[in-house]
Amino acid sequence: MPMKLLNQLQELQSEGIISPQTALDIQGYFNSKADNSGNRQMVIFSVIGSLLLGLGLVLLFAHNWDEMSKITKTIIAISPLVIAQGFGVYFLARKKDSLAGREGIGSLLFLCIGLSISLVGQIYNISGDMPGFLKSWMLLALPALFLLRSSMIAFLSSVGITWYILIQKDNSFYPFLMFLGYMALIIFHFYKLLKSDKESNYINIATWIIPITFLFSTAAFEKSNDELVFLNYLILGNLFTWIGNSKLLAGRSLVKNGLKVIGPLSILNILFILSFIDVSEDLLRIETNQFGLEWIAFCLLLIPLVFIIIKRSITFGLSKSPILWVFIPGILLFLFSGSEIVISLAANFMILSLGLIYILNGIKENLIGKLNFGLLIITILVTCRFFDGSMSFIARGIIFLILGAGFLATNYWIIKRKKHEHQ
Amino acid sequence: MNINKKIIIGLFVLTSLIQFAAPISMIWEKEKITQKGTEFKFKTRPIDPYDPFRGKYIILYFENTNVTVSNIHEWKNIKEGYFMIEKDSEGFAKVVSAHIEKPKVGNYIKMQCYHYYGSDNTINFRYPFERFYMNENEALNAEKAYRLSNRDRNKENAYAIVKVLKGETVLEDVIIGGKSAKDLM
Repeated sequence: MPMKLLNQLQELQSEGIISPQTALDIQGYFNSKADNSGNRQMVIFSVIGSLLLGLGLVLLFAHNWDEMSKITKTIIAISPLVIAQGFGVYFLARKKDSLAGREGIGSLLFLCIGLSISLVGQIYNISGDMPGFLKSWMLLALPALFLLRSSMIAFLSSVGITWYILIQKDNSFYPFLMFLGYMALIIFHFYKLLKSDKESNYINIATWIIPITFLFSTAAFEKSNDELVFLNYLILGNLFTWIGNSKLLAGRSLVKNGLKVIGPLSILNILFILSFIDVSEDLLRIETNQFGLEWIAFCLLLIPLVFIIIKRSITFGLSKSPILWVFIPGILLFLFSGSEIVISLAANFMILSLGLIYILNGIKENLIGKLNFGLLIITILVTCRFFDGSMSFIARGIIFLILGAGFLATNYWIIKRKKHEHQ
Repeated sequence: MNINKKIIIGLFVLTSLIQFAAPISMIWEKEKITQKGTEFKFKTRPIDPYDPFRGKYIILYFENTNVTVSNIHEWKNIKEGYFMIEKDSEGFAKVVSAHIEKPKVGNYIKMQCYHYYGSDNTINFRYPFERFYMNENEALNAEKAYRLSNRDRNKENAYAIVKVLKGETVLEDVIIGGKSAKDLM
């Protein structure tokens, strides 16, 4: 507790402004807060320490010590794993409540599993089968995630499993099933953590890392029907936005809720891409009679989204985030309109309307961030169209004139309204 | 210690044993090949790249990575096959035939293979021992030594020593200009 505050407390108490009990309560509150920050520091130091230790071991062994015999190298390669496992047993038996222990040992164990497999590969000159190596590593680390309940293992393995799905070359559905099951378990881990400790810093980090791994991995669900991936990203962005605005994550700032940032940005990104007529033409090539990986991903993303929309109602969603309106008309037009002009016009209209909605909401709620976001959307749209070679100069000229006039008119109307309010 | 805690520790120990068994089983398999396998020499050309986890290695390029088969239509969707090897007159290994089913006798290697569409009846394959891990200071030396010794009259001066047992292999050493790649310093 800060010294200055302690002095002031004594002063307030002696002046009779607060009771001795209140002074004690205030003191207790600050002391518990100081305990918490000390605890957090310990967790961070133990995680960073363990990660550095593990990575240091990886580099040291990668040097390849020729002087040692095969058997010595093997023993040294496997001993870090055994030591980390020993720490794990000690932690589970004695120090189960220590967050620093949980996360530090989790990180170290995770790295040591990878280290032991890769070093045996080095000793016996096993050719580089990176996907196979990543798969074994992630599968061996998975039980430790639940037994140690370590969020660090969850983060590291979500990156690992995404890396695996992106580089694996197997044509069967098995790797994709494994990936989906794995991610479901990671999400389950964080769901449980959210239920038990809403304020956990790991939840804040998870709201960024998990959606980012999904953004990367969605690209892996692409074999031949790649145009459909655009729509998969659109659905994914909507899902993120809905979940980010759900009751589970309510009351968090944007920094502590990455879903609320990544979701809308993904939707806008896809709309910007489709606003180019050259790209919107691609959507016409989506093959509806070829049920492959892309359609499986499409259904897997669409079903929960539709379920959420029906359960929570679209009006509820719109009250949380205006960007959610584009989904239903978007998916219908992009999939069924059959005309690239309709698709690109719709995308342009959606971006423009979103920009305006953010600007108007910004003005109404007096939030400069929202206002600037709206302006940024419109600026990017204008830049895209100004350099869009597929539109004639006349068409672009007319659109710019209409937009400019619209802006001036809106501005004039707002100023007039403000003057009216003042009077 | 309550029962729940005991179960969790028990499961953790079990998991640890599985984690421990993964590298050990790899070692077991490879040691069996080293002890009981037949030795072959494969002509090669070494180059020096880098792997973030396993360190420096030399990559081995092999000559003759295709073989003719009579039943090419059966190989269309096959990704892995069994390739019989024999020693030629100079004592170097060469692939003599390819089989979809595992052969019962003889020395063979299980390899990834590719069939390129065309009129000829050849299958391309990829040796499973393309990397030879080395001390980080020595990998580049190996490549340099190869280039130097290649300027000599004798062009066939680098080869890999590989043990083969029931389709599986272990790369034992790489010899460049008569010396082990590890002793080139």
